[in-house]
Amino acid sequence: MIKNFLQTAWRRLWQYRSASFLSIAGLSIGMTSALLIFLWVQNEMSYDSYNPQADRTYRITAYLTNVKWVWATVPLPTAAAVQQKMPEIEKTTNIRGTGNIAFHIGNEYFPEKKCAYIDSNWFDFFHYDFLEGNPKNFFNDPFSILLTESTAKKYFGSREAIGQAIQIDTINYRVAAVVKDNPANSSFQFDVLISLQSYLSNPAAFKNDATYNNYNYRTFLRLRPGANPKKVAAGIAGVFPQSGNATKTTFDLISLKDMHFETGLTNQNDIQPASIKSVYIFSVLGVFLLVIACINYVNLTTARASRRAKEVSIRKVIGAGKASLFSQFILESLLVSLISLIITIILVRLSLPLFRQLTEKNFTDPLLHLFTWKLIGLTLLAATLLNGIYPALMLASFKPLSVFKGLNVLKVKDAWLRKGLVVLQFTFSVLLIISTIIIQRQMNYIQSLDPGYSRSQLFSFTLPWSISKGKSETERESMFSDVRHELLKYTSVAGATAASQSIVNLQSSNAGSADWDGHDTSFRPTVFQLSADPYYKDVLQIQLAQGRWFQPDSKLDQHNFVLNETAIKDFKIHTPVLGQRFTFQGDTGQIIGVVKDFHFASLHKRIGDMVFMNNPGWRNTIFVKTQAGKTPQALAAAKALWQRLAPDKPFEYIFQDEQFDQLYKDDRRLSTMIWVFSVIAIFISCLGLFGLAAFAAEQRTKEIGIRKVLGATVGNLVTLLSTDFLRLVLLSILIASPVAGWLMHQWLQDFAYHVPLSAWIFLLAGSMALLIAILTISFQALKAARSNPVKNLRTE
Amino acid sequence: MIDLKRISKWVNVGGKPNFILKDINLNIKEGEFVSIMGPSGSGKSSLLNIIGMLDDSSEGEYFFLEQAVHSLKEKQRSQLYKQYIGFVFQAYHLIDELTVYENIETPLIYQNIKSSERQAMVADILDRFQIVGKKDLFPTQLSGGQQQLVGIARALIGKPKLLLADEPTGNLNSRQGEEIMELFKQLNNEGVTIIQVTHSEKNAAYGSRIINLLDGRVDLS
Repeated sequence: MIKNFLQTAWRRLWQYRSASFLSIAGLSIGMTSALLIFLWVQNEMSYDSYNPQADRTYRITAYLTNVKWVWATVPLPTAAAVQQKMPEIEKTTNIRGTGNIAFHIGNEYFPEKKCAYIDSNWFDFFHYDFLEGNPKNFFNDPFSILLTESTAKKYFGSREAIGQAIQIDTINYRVAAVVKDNPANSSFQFDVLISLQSYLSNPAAFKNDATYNNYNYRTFLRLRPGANPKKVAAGIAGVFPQSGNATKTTFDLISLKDMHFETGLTNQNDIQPASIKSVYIFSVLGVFLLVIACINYVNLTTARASRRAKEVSIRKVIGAGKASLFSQFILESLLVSLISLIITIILVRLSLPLFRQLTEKNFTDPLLHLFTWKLIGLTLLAATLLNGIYPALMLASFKPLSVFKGLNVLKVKDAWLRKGLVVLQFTFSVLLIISTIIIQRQMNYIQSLDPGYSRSQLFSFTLPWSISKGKSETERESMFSDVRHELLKYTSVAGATAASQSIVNLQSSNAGSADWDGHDTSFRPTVFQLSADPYYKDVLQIQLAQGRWFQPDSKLDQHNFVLNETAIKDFKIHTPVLGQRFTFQGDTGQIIGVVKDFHFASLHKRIGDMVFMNNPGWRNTIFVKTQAGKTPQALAAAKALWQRLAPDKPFEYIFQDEQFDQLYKDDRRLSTMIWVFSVIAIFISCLGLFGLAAFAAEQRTKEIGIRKVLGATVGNLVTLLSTDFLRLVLLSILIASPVAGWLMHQWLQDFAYHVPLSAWIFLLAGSMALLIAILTISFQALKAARSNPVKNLRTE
Repeated sequence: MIDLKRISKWVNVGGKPNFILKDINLNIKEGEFVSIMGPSGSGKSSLLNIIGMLDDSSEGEYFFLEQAVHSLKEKQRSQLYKQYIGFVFQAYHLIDELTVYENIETPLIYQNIKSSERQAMVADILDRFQIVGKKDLFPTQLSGGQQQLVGIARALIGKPKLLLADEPTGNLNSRQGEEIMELFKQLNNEGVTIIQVTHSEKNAAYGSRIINLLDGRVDLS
């Protein structure tokens, strides 16, 4: 019997191959998209939880309340001191960033960004799959290095990495372990780990870190079962030496599992924070896609069910029971689901590399996860049941005679259900269209907004600390001046300037050191600071609102300041502003100029108070503006210069445009993903509507025939067939618009500067949805309207 | 074999019963070849459907092989029907997705007959109807007469005692019609009871008895 059923099912699929293709494609694409999304969501939600005793692991957060800084780091001695003081703490471990270092292997230098120093408890806290070496004797030699598998491969190819020598800053290290690449859900995406002992064996480094003044270590605590983290957090401040000065520090603990979505840190550096908001957005999107795909599939199969009425009747007349008809339908549905499953697996396989690229996460093959199969299984079960049971009940229960008599057995009694499904589907689609438009507009706004300075054809490189170490301020100033003059000799260089930081994303800030006449000392604003040389304004094309910029070779100007308009307003500087006394970072001078406000951070943040200083002691970065079309030559010039100044370091530079792009990497990724999945959702919805329009046209074949005989034109009939659906789409637009408006309003709140939610966006999205729907429906409506009425009426 | 007592069938139109069949008393013995005739709307097909258990009567008693069909449960009725009755339609009603062979085989599947047995039975009947060469074709690839032949083969595959035919030659040309009627006569001679609905006097003449219906009643005149 099964063979007979499968045979019919297969032939039917083949006979209506275009319709079969639509429903299978819709389901497969929907499942694939949802699967990828949930893979990502699951990864985000499971960050670091694979580590042993992750639920008892916490990290100390430091709040430097005076300067309003929140740090994920604490001083080195904290760990040992708190453990000694509080018995609730079972174990502690420290990790310290290395900053940018370079590997010296053979005769070459390789910059390594993702490295850290770890202490000997690290592997008790965090799980690594050791391929070579082991966690026990890794710390036997203080100069041990651990590499991930792909890093080892990068440097040593197929050679054995263990025992290989790597030189960092004239010290020889030895590769003592190779581990599997970090899983995608690890917060610690370090390619290189170095024993902390090696770092502290340098007396100067040890002296620097052994005090309670330098916050350089992420310290993790494992609490004993049942210990209260709040209580432990409250005890941390007690180990710090009591100092009378103004810096007041409080501490808190954050659970390892919550760390991935941590917000509010002043500096994040090596660990990328994630947004729980995106996780919610994508969870909803994944469910949307799954529901849309299922709805679409149900609508398409049930739409074709009327064609099956004849077959079902015959089977009944020649002896089929309800049970056998029922199992036939379920089996058929199962066949379609199975085909979809196979296609889904193939699609997931094919799209995974792209998805990895899109999310920048190193996902392992999702087909190896139990979770994936649960998800596929559930979706298929839902789809199979919906598609099998619904027509099975519907068709198995009617009287076969009515079909032969030409009565329409599939009365539109469940029209409400089907209409509801279409409304739901299109509500999702319209929602996504509106969101996509608004997100794209915001991204365009970000790209095209004039930030108030010029970042084009501008690259920067930071001179290593080693070459300015031990130089006096005057010597440093003349060194930078020499570099500048050297660079300006090249025709490919249009301008050069030295500053303390990039203007694209100014991070350095301070609260409490600024003072001016009329200052209410209880007002301690966070002030962003940048030290710039006299040429900075022209190279970066910053606009002055009043006064002047620092002058070259003016000793006096080294103590003067330029503020931005916001700072002048916030500080309520007395007029005339120019010439007013200003004290900052222990230096006192005059306000000599005011620059027009410009965006020195991402548009997520409002423009804050900012002070330009001219103190050369702070500057270590050179910004080079290149002549149009001569960028490679300018880079070569900078490199040649670098190699003369610091021959033992690799030349590293970054374009300010690149840095700007980094600023919105997460936003762009979000917008790309939403765009991709919206297109998919809309596509699947259209497939559903297409199927439903076909169904409606088929149901009304007789009516269409009669109307045609009575003289209706094709236009009349298309209108007749389309109106119902267009009404549904209109309803969807009405439902979706306020929801989308609310959601997008929430999203835009994350940007201090954003596009308005204009009415035309909603109108445009609505028209797009309507247009898409009209195109989809009119295809079927035209087909029905142009058919021969005589033929239609004869089937009755 | 068939005993109908005071069978009536009506549908309610605007609250009033509209009679399709009224007070039908009919007795058909095994081995008879009965033709039901009458103008359009006289209730021929309704009567056939009630006899074939595809439809219920509104009133009256129906005994089939001494069993009271009117009081049987759906399942038992279906059992009875599967075992003893074959149906032939004017529009053939073959399953388009199945081949000739599979169409004929399907009733046997529903009767839970083993695959090897089914093969033998289908091969037999294909042979008998001389359509072996057509067994792998689909219905749409056949002429009307051939399709009806397949329809009859399918009706007969379960070896029914009663064959019901609703205008079996209605869609065929006269030569094809004659062939089908000859086949019916031959089947009747082999012992199959046949009841056919027909408009054609000529076809009715193949039968051993003619029942005339008029406005839902047996016309005795």
